[in-house]
Amino acid sequence: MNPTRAELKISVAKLIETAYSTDKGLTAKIVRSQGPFKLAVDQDGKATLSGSAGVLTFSGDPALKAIGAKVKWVSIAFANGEGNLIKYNATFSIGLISITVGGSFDLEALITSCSGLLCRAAKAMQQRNHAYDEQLRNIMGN
Amino acid sequence: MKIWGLILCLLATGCASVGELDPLYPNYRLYAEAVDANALSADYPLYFSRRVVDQVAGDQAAFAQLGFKAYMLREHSHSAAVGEDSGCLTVNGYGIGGEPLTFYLAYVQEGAEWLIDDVNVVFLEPEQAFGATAKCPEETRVNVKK
Repeated sequence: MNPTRAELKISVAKLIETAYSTDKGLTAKIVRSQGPFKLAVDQDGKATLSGSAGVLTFSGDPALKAIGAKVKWVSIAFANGEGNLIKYNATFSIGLISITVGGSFDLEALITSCSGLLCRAAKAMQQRNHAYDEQLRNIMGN
Repeated sequence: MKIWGLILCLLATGCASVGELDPLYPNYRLYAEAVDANALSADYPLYFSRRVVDQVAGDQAAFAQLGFKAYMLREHSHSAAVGEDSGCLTVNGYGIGGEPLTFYLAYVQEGAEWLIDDVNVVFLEPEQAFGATAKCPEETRVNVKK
């Protein structure tokens, strides 16, 4: 089964979320800085978030669990829109084919999505949580 | 690589041949019909390059990717660009929920056959318009390492 549009968008959200949980301060600087920023995940699962404010590396594997297929690499370009809006275009290579998805999300909504009981429950379970995925899907758009 | 040569050709001179001379879309239609008929497991070497077929051998997860056509329920339009021994086909259409998407396919010629060698599936936002000209998959991927 190839990944759906919604699963890919949720993975973009979870990668940003994982960056925040790794280093909230540096991630905030990178995503709030002027100009574009980018996120790449290599074939070993090493994720790199980079922009004019710095570079953050973390494991991208947990965030990519929402995708059924094994991900070979991910490449995401972000640009600041109006207000808290972040625009993005992402390509996921799953081996023989790649899939590109784009959209925009509200940065504040994404950050605060992972501060409540729902998020803590999802993390405690260390597996896919449908209620939390649904919340992320709404933030990232269908 | 053949496809890079075609990309450069497209950018520099507009070398594409389309319409009645397009050998790619008929192959794509046969592939699409095979997916719709659940016949891909037997027929996939008829539609994909030797490079792709070699990677699929015995790998169910890789084989599942060849069924990418299932993303698109209804076709809207297509365009092709064909070089000497490689080409690119763009197919626009709509998915299960009516959402727009585009397939960017790279073809290579092996013997007399034109076969799919590379694929990028692009999910468009509802307000995005379909592209009118053919592009190769490599041109349409996000590559932040450039």
